[in-house]
Amino acid sequence: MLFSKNVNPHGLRNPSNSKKGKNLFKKILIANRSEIACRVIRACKEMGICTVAVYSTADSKALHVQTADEAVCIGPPPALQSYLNMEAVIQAAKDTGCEAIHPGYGFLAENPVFNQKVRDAGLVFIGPNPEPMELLGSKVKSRVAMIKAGVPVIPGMKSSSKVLKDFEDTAEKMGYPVLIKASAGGGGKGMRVVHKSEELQSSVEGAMRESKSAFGSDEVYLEKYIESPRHVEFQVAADNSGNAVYLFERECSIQRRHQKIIEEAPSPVMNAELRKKMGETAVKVIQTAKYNNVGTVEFLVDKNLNFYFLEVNARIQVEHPITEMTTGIDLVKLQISIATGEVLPFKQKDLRQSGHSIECRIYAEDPDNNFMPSSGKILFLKEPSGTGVRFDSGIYQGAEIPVFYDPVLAKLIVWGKDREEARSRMIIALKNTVILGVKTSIPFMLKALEHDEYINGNTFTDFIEKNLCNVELHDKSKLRAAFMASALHANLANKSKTISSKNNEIPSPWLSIGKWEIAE
Amino acid sequence: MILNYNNKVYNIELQGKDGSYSLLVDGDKVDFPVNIISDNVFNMQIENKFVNVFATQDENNCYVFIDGDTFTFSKPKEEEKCFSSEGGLSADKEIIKPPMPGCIVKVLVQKEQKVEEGTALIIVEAMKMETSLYSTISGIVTQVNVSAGEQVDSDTVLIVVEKE
Repeated sequence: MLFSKNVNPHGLRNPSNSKKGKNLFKKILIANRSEIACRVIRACKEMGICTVAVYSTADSKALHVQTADEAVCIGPPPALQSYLNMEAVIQAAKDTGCEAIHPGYGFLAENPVFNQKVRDAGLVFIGPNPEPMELLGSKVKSRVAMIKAGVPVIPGMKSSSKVLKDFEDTAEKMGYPVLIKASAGGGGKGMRVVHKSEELQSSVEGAMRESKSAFGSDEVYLEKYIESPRHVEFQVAADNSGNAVYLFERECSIQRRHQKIIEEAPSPVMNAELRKKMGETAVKVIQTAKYNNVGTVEFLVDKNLNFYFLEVNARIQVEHPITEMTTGIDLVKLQISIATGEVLPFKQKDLRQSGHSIECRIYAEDPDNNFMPSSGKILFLKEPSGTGVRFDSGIYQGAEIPVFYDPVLAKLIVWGKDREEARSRMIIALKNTVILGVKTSIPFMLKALEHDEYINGNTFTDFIEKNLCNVELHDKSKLRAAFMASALHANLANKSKTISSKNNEIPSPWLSIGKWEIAE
Repeated sequence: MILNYNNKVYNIELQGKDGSYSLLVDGDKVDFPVNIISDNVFNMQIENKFVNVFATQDENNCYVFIDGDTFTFSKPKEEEKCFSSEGGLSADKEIIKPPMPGCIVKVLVQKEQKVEEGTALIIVEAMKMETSLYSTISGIVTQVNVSAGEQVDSDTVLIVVEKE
């Protein structure tokens, strides 16, 4: 990371790092896995807090299990029986003597029932209170509350429904295209764009199923689909005493399957006036909901720079590092210190955005095959490094990527003095991120970052559809070099195998390649 | 060594020594100056610049990374060689297998049902993403081997469609 985590260029007080903080926890359980669990564990270590990881039997060798001070197995691989098993998670926290639970993102992070159960068990939930979480967790209820407060929203259904006719009526009234969204949703799961009435029924059903399996709720609703918008969100923070600030915006328009893959801060479209207006609206949103702790207020921004409130993510976001890079504030530590009852260590006027940061999410997925998740083993890994380069990882060489969970492997984050420096730094860093054994989105993200429309800041949520749909990802001129490397590797690997093994083994077909030798 | 890339088979042979190697691709000769850094890392000259090329393999594939670009080559399997003569890949019969291990969400067709090209046959979920699998031929469903809720491996035959 560019800034050291405690001293930052803005001279701001970061959340307490010392044990002086009177109520600081001694031990925290992290109810998550992969890179975010590792990220939270790092923050805890810096604060001198002991950590307990939880894991399913598919994750017994996962990185978060290795890095935590203790780890507890909470069930079999399917998430419903492990990472989503509230009783098992809470029991693990009690058994290990934890005082608080950090939920990360996804899984139980935005489940108000879990939130309440944690408190009922006498533990601290590191996140907002259950009431604002419940209000904001329901996209429908939060819409209604925000309309009342005068916050601009997208037109659509006022509540979720299980009656197809309600969807048909609203869609007919507003006209297609429309968007079906999971009320409990996030990350594009349970979300469908519908272009014509014939597709409506199957889309509603599909969205309900996906929502049920991802969030345990089949509530979906429908709203007008705004074409070619930008996705701009504001990081907010509020303490338990009612102080609230915004930590500026992130633009997350580069999405595939409605899931963000490249994010940046600041947004290329932002100006000081709009930033202030949206930031103040974001603060109004969280005050309306009586929200406490760190959160994100999401907006859509249309071509005329009108903005519409989408939802609040009542958790730490995947893309939180780009805000950390541009503000110098450690958001996970801030979450923990707010949960202990500390007041915000800064006021709005103290906050500054500095430079430009970009994040690329590295998923195990196949960009040649409609981003189909890919599972397997990380056979070779080389992490990127350099000035302004941060790699938040959940993997290691030899790690198995199970099929049961979201296939995020790592996040690559860079900081530069301006957008162009950040962009070129990211390109170089991606070219130095070697992950072999599973397919990743790296070649695809490079094409996105090198595209003229990206360079010009024309980043809209349909960027990929419009610009990268038929792009040839692989440079055929490198094919022969790739063959060469394969042949060299096969021969060398084979040679070391023959040296170490006995001669009476059945010769592998690789042995017969022959006709050449390797110089010492 | 035989490698498969984008459904095309390449016959590859390596010759040379002392940091200078030639590659025969289907008998075609190419030269690459190379500095072998390790079993996995090769500093190779490509278009007048030296770059590190990374390679590794498992039982099924060779994996290569060059400057942000990745290539996955599959190695030929014994069974595949026999399979092609069996008619399983012919256009008269379509065998539906999941793209990866996952869970069956919904079976959309029944045995003996007539389907058109493009009909959605089954919905599979893996890593919390639903994927619909479609028929690429028109015909009759002759096999439905799974039901909703079932966990399947990527080599499970889910559904078979045959031309009438």
